Amino acid sequence: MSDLTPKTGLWDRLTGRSDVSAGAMAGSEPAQDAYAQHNGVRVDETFAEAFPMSATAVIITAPTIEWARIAAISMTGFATSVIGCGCEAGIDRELPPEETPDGRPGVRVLVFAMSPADLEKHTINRVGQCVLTCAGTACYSGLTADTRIKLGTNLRYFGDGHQSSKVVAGRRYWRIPVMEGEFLCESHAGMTGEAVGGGNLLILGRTARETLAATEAAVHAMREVPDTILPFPGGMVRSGSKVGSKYAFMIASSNEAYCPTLRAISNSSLDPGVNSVLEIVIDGLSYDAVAESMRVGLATLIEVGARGGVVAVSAGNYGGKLGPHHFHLHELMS
Amino acid sequence: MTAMIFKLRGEPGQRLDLSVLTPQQLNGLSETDLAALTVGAGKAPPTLGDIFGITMGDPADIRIVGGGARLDGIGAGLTRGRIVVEGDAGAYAARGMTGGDLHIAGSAGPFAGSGMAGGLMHIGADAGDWLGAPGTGEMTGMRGGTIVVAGRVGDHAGDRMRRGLIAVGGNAGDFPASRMIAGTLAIFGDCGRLPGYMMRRGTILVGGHSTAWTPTFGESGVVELTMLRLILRELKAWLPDAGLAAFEGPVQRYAGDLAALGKGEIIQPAA
Repeated sequence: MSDLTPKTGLWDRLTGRSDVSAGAMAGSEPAQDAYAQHNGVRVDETFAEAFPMSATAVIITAPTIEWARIAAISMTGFATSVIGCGCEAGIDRELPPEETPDGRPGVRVLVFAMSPADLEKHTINRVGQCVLTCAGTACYSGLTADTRIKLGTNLRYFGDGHQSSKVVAGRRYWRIPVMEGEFLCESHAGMTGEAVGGGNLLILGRTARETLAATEAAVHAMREVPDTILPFPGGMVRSGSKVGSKYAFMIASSNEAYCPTLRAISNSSLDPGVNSVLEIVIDGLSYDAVAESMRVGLATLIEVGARGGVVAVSAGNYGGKLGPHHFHLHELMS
Repeated sequence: MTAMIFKLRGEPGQRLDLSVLTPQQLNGLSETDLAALTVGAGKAPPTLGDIFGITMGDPADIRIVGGGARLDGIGAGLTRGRIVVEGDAGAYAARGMTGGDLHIAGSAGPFAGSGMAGGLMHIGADAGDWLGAPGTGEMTGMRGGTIVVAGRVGDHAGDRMRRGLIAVGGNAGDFPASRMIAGTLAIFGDCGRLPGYMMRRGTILVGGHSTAWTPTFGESGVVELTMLRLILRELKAWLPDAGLAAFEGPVQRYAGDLAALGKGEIIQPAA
């Protein structure tokens, strides 16, 4: 399911009620006279509605970039949405040796969660299961901040009393003996409560193949924006959801307004020429980072244009009543 | 603002206690007040004005021009700012220092960095015995910060060291890191007898050889320790010619002192 669905717990917190049977997102219904054409692409006059999140960054290093990548991919697996995964995580960027603490190739991973406690829990679990276990790796804080979450200071107990700490340049590291040699992990990682989750772009395309290609191009460009991740597979999500369901046990379900196969039997939001919709969800360490990512993505989609099969670009929101961060598409283009 | 300069008038007639030369103690004093500060002992103890020609400046940037083995306590209790000694320092340099930088272009006497808890001391030449060791009656030696010695150090460097980093570009005397509680002593040259004698935890790097290795250490494999990269990166700018690269690959590790707690280690470049 897409991140557009209000998060478990977040819905209650923001609305003061636990009834999640509200309707679909409001951003899908722009006024017909509010459309603007850019290179043949209609950009809806709407906005993406995003939410505050807690986030951290860790740097994973290894003897080779391949092994750092393996650990990072493993750590960020099954972390597409806080709804079902507890956290959202992804690779921010790869780091050359001169940019890592230990002079080895590395990967910077970002993790987002709905609270500092959740963030700490899921980060420790993921580093413990996917980095500690991965040959040759070490793990460091990738974010300098006054607020920190525990990292190595909890993982050290794996050493069963044989662990030791080392303070270098004022930062504490834990050395945990493992069969391969030693796993080195910084005691804490910086955390920000100013992170933003749920920035998004909806790409409405002519055919599935063209929509995929255009979205791939946007994802490719957006991945260059620092301090952001696109947590879904390949950076995009095909199953945008609406809040609620006909089934009481589902808090979110398929957003039929955007499903091309339901056009004839639902209150569809799709124009006749639209036959596939993909969504890009963006989490960032700051509002500015998410805005920059969306701007880059939007610019790329416009560049692909109608000739590339992009009919329209829209965004998902809840009418502006739930999330404090609003990313207006037209403002991003100005 | 320019540095506050103390120019040595000549060889002092007695040992001096220059622990008053710190930013926190000089801040706000007039030149007259400065010159009247007592720095010696006896019936007519010498004052700063007797010993130094004083040029007023930023008290957080102190420069001592000229030096000698009788200039004790330079940088003792330093909490912030910077002191540069263009010459040698006597005993107890940076004793109890908790922050700031102390740069000694020449050599330092015994007990340099004793009880140091933070900051950086850089010694351009050699250091005497008991570098970073505890003072008389104290339970622990250095508790934090970094000491870099470009040349040689005497005996008992890092004795009862609790935390922090001491790096020695040259050779060390006998009993380096004796009774070490934790922390890191990196010797990139040779060392004397019994390194790590009775150490409980902590790390000793020895780039060269010892005249007598401590027998109560156990061989613990040839391994690659990522932690060493962090330490070496810290030291690269200070000791560019000390052969740090030898520790970047596989290293030989010995665990000990098994006559004590045994959680310490001696690390050498693998053969």
